[in-house]
Amino acid sequence: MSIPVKAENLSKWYGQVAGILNVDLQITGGVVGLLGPNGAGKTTFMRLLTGQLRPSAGEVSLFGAPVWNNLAVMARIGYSPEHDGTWDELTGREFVRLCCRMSGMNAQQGDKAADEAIAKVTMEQAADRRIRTYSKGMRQRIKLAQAVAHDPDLIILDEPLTGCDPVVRAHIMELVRELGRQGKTILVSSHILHEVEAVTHQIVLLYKGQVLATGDIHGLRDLIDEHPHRIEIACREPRTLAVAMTAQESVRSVTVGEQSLTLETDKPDACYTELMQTVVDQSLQVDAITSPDDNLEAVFRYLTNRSATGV
Amino acid sequence: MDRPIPGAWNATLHAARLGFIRASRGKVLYGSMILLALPYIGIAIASATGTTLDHEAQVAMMRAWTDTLLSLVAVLVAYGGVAEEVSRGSAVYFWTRPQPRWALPMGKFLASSLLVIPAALLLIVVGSALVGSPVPAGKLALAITLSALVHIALALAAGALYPRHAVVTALVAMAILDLAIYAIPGAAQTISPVFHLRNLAGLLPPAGALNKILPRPNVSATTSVIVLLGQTILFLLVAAIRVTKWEYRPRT
Repeated sequence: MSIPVKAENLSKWYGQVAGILNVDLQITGGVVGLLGPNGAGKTTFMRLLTGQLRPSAGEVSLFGAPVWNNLAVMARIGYSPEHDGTWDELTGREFVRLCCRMSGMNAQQGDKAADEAIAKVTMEQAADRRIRTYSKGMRQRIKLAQAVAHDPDLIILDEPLTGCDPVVRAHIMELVRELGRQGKTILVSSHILHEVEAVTHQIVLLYKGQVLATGDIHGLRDLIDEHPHRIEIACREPRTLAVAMTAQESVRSVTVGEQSLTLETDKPDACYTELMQTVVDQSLQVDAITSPDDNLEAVFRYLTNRSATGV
Repeated sequence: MDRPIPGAWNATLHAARLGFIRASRGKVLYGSMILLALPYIGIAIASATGTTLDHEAQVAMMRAWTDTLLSLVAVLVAYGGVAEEVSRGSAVYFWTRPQPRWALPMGKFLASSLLVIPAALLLIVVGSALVGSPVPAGKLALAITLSALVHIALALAAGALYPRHAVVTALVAMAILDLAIYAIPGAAQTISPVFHLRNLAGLLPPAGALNKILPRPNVSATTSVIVLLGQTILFLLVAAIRVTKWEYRPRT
């Protein structure tokens, strides 16, 4: 059986800027998370996969065939773009039905498939309203409906959870997992680690147009845990908390501000536990706890610096 | 696994249906139709107040209506056919389906033509019945149909070439073809669609002083039809080749 997604030495240049650079990648099936901070090249990669862009160098093939202007390949993919540009004058149902017709279904099949897809994304109530009136979350769901309605073999979802509330987010994640269980190959992009973690353990890490790592998400989790973390705590008595936290084994350093405290740690999980315990034990009032390093951009910076310095 | 592929004609019909729904639910079409009706409304008001237009004035009005107002309306209705899909990003829903990319401009051409031509013909019929027409209706209908076709195709090509500046590109192209080239005396005039439209409808103005130096060529109605249809096909080919052969880069 041919490989659903294969990129060989794939590059895409926008003038002097590389959107994707020398990417070699094979996706053989299942749900795969395409992770990377904003500007990493995720959308460019997906546009190359869906034949919207032509490679500047290298090749991209889906199911063993080149993508550009290949109707047989297009018949096997479903794509939900990141942007919200749709046919706003149409109702959600008209939009999904038209997409089904454009995928080669006859009117009867298309109407049935569209209604089923709309039900899958729980949009029955709003399906007969014009898309122009939809919220961001509703747009995400109707885009997802058109991507899955024609039962494609490969589903490419570009940031499908952006703008969705927690309930919708959970529903979409479950739908993606279910499609994965049905044997579909699904590529989901996100810049938020825990979103991808909730749907798959297979990941591709993109950073500055290059594949930084592929494989199991646990490896990335381990790297994150190795990565020195800063935890910022907004509180009324930072000095009291600083004294207590300095004694903790997980804390590497403490910086005290006027109404805040910054901890640096190699063991974020342990540090969070000890912090919570200390706050409870000493009855301290904490207004907010944030971690400026708990995002992919920081992790990728750390990973690239680590590989550059050979650490 | 083999999957159904709609075929070029069906793909064109899908695009046409899309264009038809979008245009009929948008504001441009209705605004354009009001624009198209304005001269007749003006004449009706003038008649009501006791002012009557002489034959020359009626011919001038019909000339302006056919080759300026109708052309402008055709451009306004059609320029977004490809351009808006590209600039809004919605073309992706068409082009990531098993359909030839060129079916999008072809379908939009079909939709725009089906919207503009019947509406323009209806206006002419009603307008002529109300205030009279200085030229035979059959010739005028043919000129109107071809004028709409050539300008819709021109607007689609402009939109496909420069989607972010589609309306400006279309209007500049229209000004060059319909005004600048038409103003050149002699054989060069026959490149301009306006020359052929006026020739078909019998609305060519009397030869000017420059035509004494460079005489205006005598062109048959059949030649004019062939030239206008040829220009329509040429513009459609430009749009089809542009969308099929090259990608549209996203804004970075």
